[in-house]
Amino acid sequence: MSLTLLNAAVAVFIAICFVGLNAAYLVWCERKGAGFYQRRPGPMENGPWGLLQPPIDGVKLMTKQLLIPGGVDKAIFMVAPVLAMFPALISFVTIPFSKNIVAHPINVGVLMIFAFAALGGMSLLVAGWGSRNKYAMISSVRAVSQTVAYEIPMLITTITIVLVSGSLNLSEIAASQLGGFWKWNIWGFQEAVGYNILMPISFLIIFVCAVAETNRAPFDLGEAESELVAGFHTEYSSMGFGLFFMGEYANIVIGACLVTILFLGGWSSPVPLGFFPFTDHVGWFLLKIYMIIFVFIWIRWTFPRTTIYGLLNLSWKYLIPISLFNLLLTAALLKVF
Amino acid sequence: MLLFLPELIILISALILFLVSLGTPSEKTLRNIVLCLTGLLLLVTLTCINNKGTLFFAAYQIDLYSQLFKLLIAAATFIVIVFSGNTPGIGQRIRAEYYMFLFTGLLGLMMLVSSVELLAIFISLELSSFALYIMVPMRQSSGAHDYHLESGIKYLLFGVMATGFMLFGMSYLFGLTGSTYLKDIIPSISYLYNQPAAVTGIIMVMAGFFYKLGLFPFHFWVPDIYEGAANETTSFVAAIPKLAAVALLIRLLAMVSVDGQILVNLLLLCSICSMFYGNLSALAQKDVKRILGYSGISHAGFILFGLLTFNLEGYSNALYYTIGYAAMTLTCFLTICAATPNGNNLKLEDLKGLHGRSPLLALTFALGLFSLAGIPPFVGFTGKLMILINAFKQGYVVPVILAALNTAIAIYYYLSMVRLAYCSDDSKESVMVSDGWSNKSLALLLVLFIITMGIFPTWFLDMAATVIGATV
Amino acid sequence: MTETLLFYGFGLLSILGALGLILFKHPMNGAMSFVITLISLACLYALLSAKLIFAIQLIVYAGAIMSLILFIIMFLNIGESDLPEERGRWFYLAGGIVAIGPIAILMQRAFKTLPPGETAIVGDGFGGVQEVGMVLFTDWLLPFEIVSILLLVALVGAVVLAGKREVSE
Repeated sequence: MSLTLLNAAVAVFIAICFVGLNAAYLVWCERKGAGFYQRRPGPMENGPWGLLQPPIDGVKLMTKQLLIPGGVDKAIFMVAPVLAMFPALISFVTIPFSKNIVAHPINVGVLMIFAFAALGGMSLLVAGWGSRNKYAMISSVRAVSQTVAYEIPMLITTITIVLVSGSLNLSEIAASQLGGFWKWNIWGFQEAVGYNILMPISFLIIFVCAVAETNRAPFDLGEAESELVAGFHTEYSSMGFGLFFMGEYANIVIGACLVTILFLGGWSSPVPLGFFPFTDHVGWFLLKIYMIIFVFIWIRWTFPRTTIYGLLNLSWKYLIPISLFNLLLTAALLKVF
Repeated sequence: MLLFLPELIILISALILFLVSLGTPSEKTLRNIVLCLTGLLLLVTLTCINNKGTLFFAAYQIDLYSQLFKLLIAAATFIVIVFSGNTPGIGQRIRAEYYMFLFTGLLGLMMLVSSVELLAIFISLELSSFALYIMVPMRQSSGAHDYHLESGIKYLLFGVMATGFMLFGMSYLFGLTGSTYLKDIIPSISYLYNQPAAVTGIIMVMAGFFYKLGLFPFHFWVPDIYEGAANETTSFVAAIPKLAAVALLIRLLAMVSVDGQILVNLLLLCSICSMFYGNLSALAQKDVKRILGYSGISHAGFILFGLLTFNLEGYSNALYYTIGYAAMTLTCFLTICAATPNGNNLKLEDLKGLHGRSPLLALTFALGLFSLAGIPPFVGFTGKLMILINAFKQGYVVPVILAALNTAIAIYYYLSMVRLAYCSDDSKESVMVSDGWSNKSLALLLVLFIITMGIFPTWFLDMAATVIGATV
Repeated sequence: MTETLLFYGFGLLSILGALGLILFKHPMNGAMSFVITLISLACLYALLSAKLIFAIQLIVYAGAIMSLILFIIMFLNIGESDLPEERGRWFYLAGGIVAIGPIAILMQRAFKTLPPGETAIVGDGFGGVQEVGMVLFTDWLLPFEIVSILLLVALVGAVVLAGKREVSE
C-alpha cells in the first residue's frame, strides 16, 4: 500500500510538472497558431520566436494581487479553482503513456477519467456561483449544461470501444491496437469481424464531444467573451485564474490522450518496422496527442462560435440518438459475427 | 413466458398507452382502450391462477399465493377503472399518460407480490410508488381544490423517507445474513431476531410496507394525499397498494415469530396506536375522503393486529380482512366518485339528501359504511371478530380490549355519515349524481360480495389458509 | 496501518460533511459539504479496492446529481434575506443530541451483540467490473431489468408535470 501511495505521489508530482509545462507552452502554441491562421506573427518579443513568453507570463500571474470580490463566500470562491485543477491532475495517474510509463494501472481506467471529469464540471458551477457576478453565473450554467449534455454521448460511445476491445483498462485497450496503423480502432479492424464501418462514426462522436467537453471553440459558449466578459473566471485574478487556465489545458491534454488511446493506438508505431524510431514507444504517443491538440487549435481559429441552442441541439437531438444506434449496431455486429 | 403473462400484459398495456399518449385520442376511444386492457388483464390473471414456478434465478416466485394477490389486484383495478368513468379529476390532455402511470404502478405492485428477493422487492415497490407520486399531482386544478401539487410533494417526501428506512434495513439484513434472497435470510435470521441489529433491520424493512399500508409511524401522508389527489387516484391508492403491502408483510413476518418479544411488542404498539390515531382523528373531519383516509389507518392497524398472532389462522384472518377492507373501501369510493361527476372533493354536507338523489347509491354507501364500522352481518364485522377471537386465544387480552374499544369509537363517525345521507334534506347546490348502469351494477356486485363474505366466511378463510399455508 | 488511518480519515470527513449539510444555513454551503461526504464515501469504496463503485459513485453522485442540485440552488437564487431565521438553533441542537443518545446506545448494543461470523467474505474481485456484471445479470437480473421501466416512468412523469403549467394558463 505504502509503495503505491509513493507511486501516486511521484506520479502526481510528475503530472503537475507535465501539466504546468504543457499549459505554458500550449498557450504559446495557441497564440502562434492563431497568428498563423490570421496571417500575423504572434508573440515575437521575448526570446527567439517569443519562446520565453510563457515563463514570463507565469511570473506575471504569480506576482499579481489576488482579488476577492466583496460579499462572496470566501471558502467557496477559493475552493473552485482547486476543484478545477485537482481532478485533471489525478486523471493523469491512470493514463498509460507507453507500455511501461503509467503511474497506476487501473482496470476501470476509462471510467476513472470520466469520474474525474465529472468533478471538474462541478468546479465551473461553484466558480460561477461563488463569484457573485451575473456573467459568471450565466457562463457557468451554460458550461455545465454543455458538459452534462456532451458527457452522455461520450460515455455511450466509449462503450462501443469497450465492447470492441473487451476491456475497460486503458493499457489493454491501447495494447490491443499494436502492430501497425491498420490495427487502430479508428478503422475498426478486428481479426474476427474484419473492418467495422461503425468505428469511424464513434471516433467522430468522441472527437466532437472531446472538443465540447473541454469547452473549446466552436463550443466555448461558457467563455463567450463578446457577451459574458470572461466567463466563469471573470472575477478571478492572479493564480486563481492561473489554476483555471492550467486545469483547462490539462483537460485538453487529457481529451487528446483519451482519443489517442481509444482510437489511435496509443503508443503504437504506425509502421512497426522493428528498429528504433519505428518501434512502439512513448514518442509516438506524444506525437499523436500533439497532433490532436494541433487539430483542436486549428478548429478553434477556423470555425466561428455556435449558439447555445445549436450546441445543445447538436448533442440532445443528433449525437445522443446517433450514439445510441451506434452502440446498438456495434453490439449486434459483435454478436452476429 | 406463460408464467410471466399477467406482468407482460400490463407492460404491453402501459406501452400501448404510452403510444396513445403521443396522439390526441378522444375521451371515448381512450376509455374503451383502457377498459379493454383492464378486462384482458383480469381474464389473464384468472387463467394464470394455477401457475407455479420460479423465474429470474429464483428471485421471482409464482405460486397460488402470488397469483391470488395478482387476481385481487387486477379485480380491484378493474373496479376502480369502471367506476372512475371519464376520470373527471384528470385533465383531458394528460389522461392517456395518467393511465400509463396507473398501469406501470400496477406492474410494480404485481411484481411486488411475486418478488422473493430484497432488491426485486425494493425496485418493484419503487416502481409502484413512482407511478403514484406522479399520479397524485396530475389532478386538474380548479378553484375548489388547489393543493394537489402540495400533496404530491408530501407523498413524495414521506415516500422517500420510508424508502430510505427500508433500504437501510435491507442493508442490515444483507449484512447479517449475506444474502438478498428471502429463502436464505429467513432461516439465518431466525436465531437472531432478538438481537438489536436484526430487530432494527427487520423494523426498517417493514417501514416501507407500513408506509404503503398507512400504518402508525408512517401514516402522516394519508389524509392529505387522500384529500389532495383526484377521487380516482385516491380510490386506487386506498385499496390496491394495501393488498400488495399485506402480501409482502405476510412473507416478511416469517422472519419473526412469537419468541421475538421486542419485535412483537413494537409491532403491537404500532397497531394499537394506528387504531387509536385513525379513529380519534376521523371524528373531527369534514371531508369524506379524509375520513376514509383516517379510517384506513385504523383498519391497517387491525390488519397488522391479525398478523401478529403468527399462526396460520391469524394470517388467513388478516388476508380475509384485507380483501374485505378493499371491497368495503371500493364500495365507498364508488359512491364518492359517482356523487362528484365534476371531480371535486366530497364534503360532508354534500352528502345531504343523497337518498333522494340516488337511492341505490345511498344504500350502497350506507352498507359500505356499516361494514367498515363492523356491524353484522357484513365482512367488516366478521373480520374483526375473527381477528379479536384469535388474538384472545393467543393471550393478548389488553390489546383485544383496546381494539374492541376502537370499534366502538369508529361507529360514531361512520354512522354520522349515514345519518347525513339519509336523515337530512337535500342541500340547495348539490350536484347531480352519475348513476349509469355500470355504476349501479357494480354497486350491487360489491354489496353482494361484502354480504356474502360476511355471512359465509368459512369458504374464504379456508381458501386463505390453504393459499398461505402453501407459502409460509 | 495506512489503510486504517485513511479509513478513519475519510470516515471522519464524511461525517463532518453530513453534519455540515444539516448545520449550514445557506443551501449552497450545505450542498458543498454534501459533496465532501460523497467524495469521501467514494474514497472509502476505493479503500475496499472496489474501483468500479468508486468511479460510479463519482460519476453519478458527485458529478451528475450534485451538479443538478447546485444548478437548482443557483436558479432559486437564494439571498441572505430569503433564509429562514433560526432562533432556537442551539435549543434544537441540544434536543437533537438528547434524541440521538438512545439511538446511539441501541446501535452500540447492536454492534456488540452481533454474532461472530466470517468477516472475510470480500473476495479478490470485489467490486470489479466482471463480478458486478455477473451478479447483475444473474441474481439481480429482475431488478436490473425493471429499473428501465422505473426510469421511463420518471422521465415521462417529469415531462408531464413540467408541462402542466402551460396547460392551466
